[in-house]
Amino acid sequence: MDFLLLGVPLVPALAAPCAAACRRAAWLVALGGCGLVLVTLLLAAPPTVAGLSASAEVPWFPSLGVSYRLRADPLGTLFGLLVAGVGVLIVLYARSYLEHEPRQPAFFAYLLLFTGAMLGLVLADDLSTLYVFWEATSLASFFLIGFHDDRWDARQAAVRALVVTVVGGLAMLAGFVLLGLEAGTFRLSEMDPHRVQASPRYPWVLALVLAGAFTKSAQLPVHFWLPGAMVAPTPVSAYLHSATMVKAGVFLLVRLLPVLGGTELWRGWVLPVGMATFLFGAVVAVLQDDLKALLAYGTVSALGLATALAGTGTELGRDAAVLYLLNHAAYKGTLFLVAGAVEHETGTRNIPQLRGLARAMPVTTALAGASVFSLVALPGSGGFVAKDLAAKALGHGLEGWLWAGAVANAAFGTRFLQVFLGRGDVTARHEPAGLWAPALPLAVLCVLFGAWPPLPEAVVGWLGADHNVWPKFGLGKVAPAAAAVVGGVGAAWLVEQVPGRRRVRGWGGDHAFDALQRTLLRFAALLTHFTLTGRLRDYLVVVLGVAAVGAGLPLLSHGRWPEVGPISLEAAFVGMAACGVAATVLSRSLVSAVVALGAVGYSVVFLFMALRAPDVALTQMLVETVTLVLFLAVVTRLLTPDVPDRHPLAAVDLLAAVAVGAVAAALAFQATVGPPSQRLAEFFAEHARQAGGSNLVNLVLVDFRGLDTLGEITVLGVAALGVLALARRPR
Amino acid sequence: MNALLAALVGLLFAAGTWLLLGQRILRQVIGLGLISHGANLMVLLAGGLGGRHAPLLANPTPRADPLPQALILTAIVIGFGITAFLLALGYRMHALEEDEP
Repeated sequence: MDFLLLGVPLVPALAAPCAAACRRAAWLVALGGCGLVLVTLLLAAPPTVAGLSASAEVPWFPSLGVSYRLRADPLGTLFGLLVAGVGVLIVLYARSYLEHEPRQPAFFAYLLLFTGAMLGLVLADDLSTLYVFWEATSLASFFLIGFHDDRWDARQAAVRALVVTVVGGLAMLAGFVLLGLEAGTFRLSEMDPHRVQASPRYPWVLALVLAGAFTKSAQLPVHFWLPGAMVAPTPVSAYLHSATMVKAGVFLLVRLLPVLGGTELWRGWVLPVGMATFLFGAVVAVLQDDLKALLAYGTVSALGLATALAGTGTELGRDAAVLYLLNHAAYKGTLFLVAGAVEHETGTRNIPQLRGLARAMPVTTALAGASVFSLVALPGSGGFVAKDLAAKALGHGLEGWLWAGAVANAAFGTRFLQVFLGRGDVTARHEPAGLWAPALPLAVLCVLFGAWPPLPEAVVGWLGADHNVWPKFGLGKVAPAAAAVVGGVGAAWLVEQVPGRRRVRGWGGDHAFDALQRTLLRFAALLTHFTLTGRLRDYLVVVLGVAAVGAGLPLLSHGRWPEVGPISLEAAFVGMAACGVAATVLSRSLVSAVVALGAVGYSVVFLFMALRAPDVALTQMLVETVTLVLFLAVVTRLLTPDVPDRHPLAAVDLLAAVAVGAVAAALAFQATVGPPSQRLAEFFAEHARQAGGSNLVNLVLVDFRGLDTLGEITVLGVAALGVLALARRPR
Repeated sequence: MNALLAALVGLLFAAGTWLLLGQRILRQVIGLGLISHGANLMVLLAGGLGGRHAPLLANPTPRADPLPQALILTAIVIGFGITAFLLALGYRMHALEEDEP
């Protein structure tokens, strides 16, 4: 049974290609994939409640202690149920929403990939497993945001989201590696918090991991990718960008709270970022005119509050964060589905244009009412229960800020509800069941969380806490909540009267991101232009220069300097060769250069003879003669105009040439230091009789290394064919 | 003697590199020829100059090491193939340039 757990993330991932292959029934495959996982997790849940966490693993890099390891603990199972459950609803919704979309199969395939990755993320018990699934969700999100890939804004939004989350993810990976080294294990469930927090590297670990969590959960100042991601089809916005993926950052904080949390540093870094994002998102949300943008900033705000709750570092804060995230998934999911239905039926998401939709869409209106009820946290709603616990967790100092955020939440909730009230020009066609039925269970949850005490109590109890969740409905709690709502309605009315609010809509880091991207591309172009000149000479300078430096540096420290000994006969031939080289380089005419090259060749022939290599000398003489003839044959046919032979930077060439020559000389000299090995020479001498000859060099060529010579002959043959083909005059 | 030969190797490499970095193909081919002479001498040096006689069985020891000599022989022949091919290539390039108006 435990082993089945390993398949939970794989089932949707494996169903993805099947969905992509199906023309018509892709949604059924997706439904099957999500449903199967949901049922498995439901079956796995009861023992988890009893405190028995199933776990299973497959070794991945055993030598590094890395494995594919999943663990169905209460937190992971809870989020797994959320992912799979909302997934089922989203598939049903998307089937109606994308009715006429020709690329529906691809959509469901991406959705399944995401579901699998997200399930792996929440169930992972190994840091590497967690990281892999973490990045997989970013990739799936990239494809889903850019689903309408014929639109520039969709592609750009997808790139922004990907770059921001992946850069954060890379920082997180570094943090994970450090954490694993400090903790001595990559298993989350086996980490010792005292050991990690006592380490001098703890601040680094924390900062790097937080970079991952904050980018994924769209905290200030990188929140901008989330509103931008709203170009995705609405089911994606509801699923990835409100109910599940963006919660991964907060989930990570909650997951690592027992290991990294509870310190002053944790509280000092996480809590302020969360609170700032909470207030910023809520205020900016009120100013939006686009239904989905409003909800997106609302999500930024909610993620901020959940981050702040995790930032308290207490168990109460953890429970408040989880309860709030579940509530948020329920009401924000419903709101997105409602917004999608409105856009689907009216063709616009512009709030000022939309009024009085209640008549044509009564059920949708009721769903919106139920979810806004929870959003503004009126008593009796799930939002009230969650915010009450949040207030307890944050403590007295921050209650005022929480109340201010509640006012802003109420204000944008009111603006959302406005589209159903009054009278308007835009009319909805009708209200298909496929666009409201999937939202129904979520809307029911919004109310149930606040009206049925066992539900929130069960959730918190499952996480292992024993504190009381259910609020006391005294005047001291109801009155501020009601006042916040009244204030919110007033604020919404005020905002409607402000003419300049449209200007705020473009506010975000996306322009800064685009500017950075352009700069980077320009830098890349410049670098390419500078390094890839397309001239052989430039590449040669680099290659030879690197070779000279690379071989020369070790020689400087380890090389030996030659001693001047007695000069023998060979010195004459060396002098001859040197003169030939000088003539080759300095001669102005090509013909004399060729002849000088021949002189060098013949000097080398004499050298070979003096150095007791008669066979080599013989061959060299033959080849030198033929080469000379060939050269002259070509040179006399070419009457090239005298093009400038040197690059303007001839000094660089000279430097490279001298460096290469010096290093070559040094290397050649080093090679002569010490007695050479005679083993091969003795071997050849011993076996010469068997090979049937007495000239050792010949025997090496035709017998000991005979196949080598065969290859050489082949090369020469091919070169000859090439020469023949090239030497013919073109027609 | 070793130092003198090593100096010649360096000279051959330097002159070859200098020509190789120029802009005319025939000079580059000449440069390549100089470098291959240098490389051959380097291999011979690496094998040691301790032999008093050519590597024939009939000769008394110490004989020169036959292996570097065999390697150089192969290198000379291959180098010749490369030179011939590059010359043909240069010739064809020139012919094509001439055909252009």
